[in-house]
Amino acid sequence: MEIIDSLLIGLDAALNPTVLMYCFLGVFLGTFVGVLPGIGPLAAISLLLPITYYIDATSAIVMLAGVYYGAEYGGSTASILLNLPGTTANAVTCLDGHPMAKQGRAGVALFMTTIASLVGGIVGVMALVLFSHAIVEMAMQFGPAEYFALMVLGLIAASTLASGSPAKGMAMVVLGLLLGTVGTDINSGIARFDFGIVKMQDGISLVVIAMGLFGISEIVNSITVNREQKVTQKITMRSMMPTRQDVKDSIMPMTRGAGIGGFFGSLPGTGAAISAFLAYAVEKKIAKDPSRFGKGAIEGITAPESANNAAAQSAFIPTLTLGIPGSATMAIMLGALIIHGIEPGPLLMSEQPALFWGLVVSFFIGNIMLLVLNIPLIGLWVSILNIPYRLLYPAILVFIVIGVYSVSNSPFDIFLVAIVGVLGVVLSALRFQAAPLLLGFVLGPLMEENLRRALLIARGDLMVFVDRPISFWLLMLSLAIVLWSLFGALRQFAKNRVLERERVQAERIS
Amino acid sequence: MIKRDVRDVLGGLLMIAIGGFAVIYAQRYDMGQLRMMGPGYFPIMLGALLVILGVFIAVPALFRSGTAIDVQWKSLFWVITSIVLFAASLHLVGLVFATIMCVVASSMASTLPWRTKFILAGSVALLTYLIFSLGLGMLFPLWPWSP
Repeated sequence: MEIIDSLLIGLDAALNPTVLMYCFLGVFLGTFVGVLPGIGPLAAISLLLPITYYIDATSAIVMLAGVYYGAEYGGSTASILLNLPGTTANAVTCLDGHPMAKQGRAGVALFMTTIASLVGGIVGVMALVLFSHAIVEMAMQFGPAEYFALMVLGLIAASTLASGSPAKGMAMVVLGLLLGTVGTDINSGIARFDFGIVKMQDGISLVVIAMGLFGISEIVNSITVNREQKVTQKITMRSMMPTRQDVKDSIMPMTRGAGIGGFFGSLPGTGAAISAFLAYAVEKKIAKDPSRFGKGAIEGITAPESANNAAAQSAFIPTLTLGIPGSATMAIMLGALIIHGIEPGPLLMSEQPALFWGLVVSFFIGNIMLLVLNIPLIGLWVSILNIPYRLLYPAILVFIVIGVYSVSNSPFDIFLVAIVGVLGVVLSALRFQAAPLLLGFVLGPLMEENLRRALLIARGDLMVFVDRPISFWLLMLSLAIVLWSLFGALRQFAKNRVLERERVQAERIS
Repeated sequence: MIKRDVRDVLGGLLMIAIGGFAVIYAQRYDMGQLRMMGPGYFPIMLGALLVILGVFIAVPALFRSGTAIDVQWKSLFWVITSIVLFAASLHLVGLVFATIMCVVASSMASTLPWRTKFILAGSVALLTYLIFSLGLGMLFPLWPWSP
């Protein structure tokens, strides 16, 4: 039994006391930032990234991953109690979670979302265990052409399937790729876009980009947001007990949600947020009485919460087996691996079995820890919700600058983060998504390397991408997505024209 | 309602400007050929692609109406000021004072009584010292007289 052997290796690595401690720290911090609206898991992970230089690779990755899936657990708390999503993936939970709280069933909602999160999380990890071997075996046959095509597909899917205009998403990917070229070119040794500054020859640090784009702009946009509401409800253990009917009504939705999340989480571009929306839509569609939704239907919270946690776990499948992240947060995880000198890709599983399987087993352990953290300690998290943001953000800001400084012990990176921060605020004001940019930034150097290598082997013949079947189909799929979104944009444009004309006519008549 | 979608027009123009700059600036690097790409090839292609995407963003926006752009100027100003202040002063006055300045400057963006600002600054400074300097053993100049 190959899988059992692998899991035993993982168990050995994950039960190491140091790793256990960092796993706990990760899920604890994850729940913390998940509960707090105004700081997301992405900012938190990039905040912790410089600190992980001081610990070993397995502990570091286990901790960062814990922050990520821990945030999905905590995120539902603010959704239910304040009608404010803690993370984007918990936005759907507001729809039925907050009405439940108004009906005095906040405790039940919090309890059931935690259970749903656990179910989703476990299903997601199971998917990771079952499918990673097969994917790794397939990926072993990949050459540079296939890798390049796979990255193209990943980036295009991530930029067009997410919300907003596809052209703007793609522009962000390209801008990210461009920022990724800053620094010394590995092939020729020439420093690109260094503007004559010696410190720029090493390129821009991932920490600087992530903090600037997510940390700084999140803070700037959240300071003036008024959060007058306070949680006054008291959540007791007794109030958390669901009725038999609640449990019965949730079993199937949780299972379906976990399936949806497990599948869509592993695809590029459709992460936890989209999985949660899909799971909600499916439940509403198949419900006998769809009018209950939006008024506190239990399926409306258990299905999406199960889906986003399953997606948070299965998102690790492409990252760990192919070395290709599907979301911005996974891009940071990949960056963390690279910083620790570990080459991500299909060889990771065979070359670093302790890290790979240790991480997988730590997911199981972390999910159990989260159950314990979230149910008895719910009072702690609720009281955190009542800390005013204006006391928190100066502290977060100081942690950001110190984190950035510690990357290379130089104030230069702090100046750089100020510039990237301004860029981030400008981009968010112009409604550009920062996530595709980050993805492009991480994949940029890998993509250029594979492109160059593929063409070097093929002696400059571009047909190499078409002649090889896997790369051909991957590129065709990318093209299909581009054409499909282009068609959608054109239709939208035509519709707007008609609406505009009608409006003008209506104005003329009146 | 604004007549044109200013947000996307500006966004498109910004992308065109960045892409155009990359293409022009990267001219100093060797392009090479497809079979042996030079350092300039990839950035120039990306710059050109960004210009094209910028056109795709800006041109349709000219023909539709949009909403006003809102930027939290005050928050942006104080946050960036506090970062720059920290960076500039860290090696001069050390971690403790740089942190206090950073907290006070950034809290100017919100309504906080002065007393609270200084209490907050003091506690964050203590916390950073405990976590980063003492706990993680990172090397910082702590005080103005530290080397």
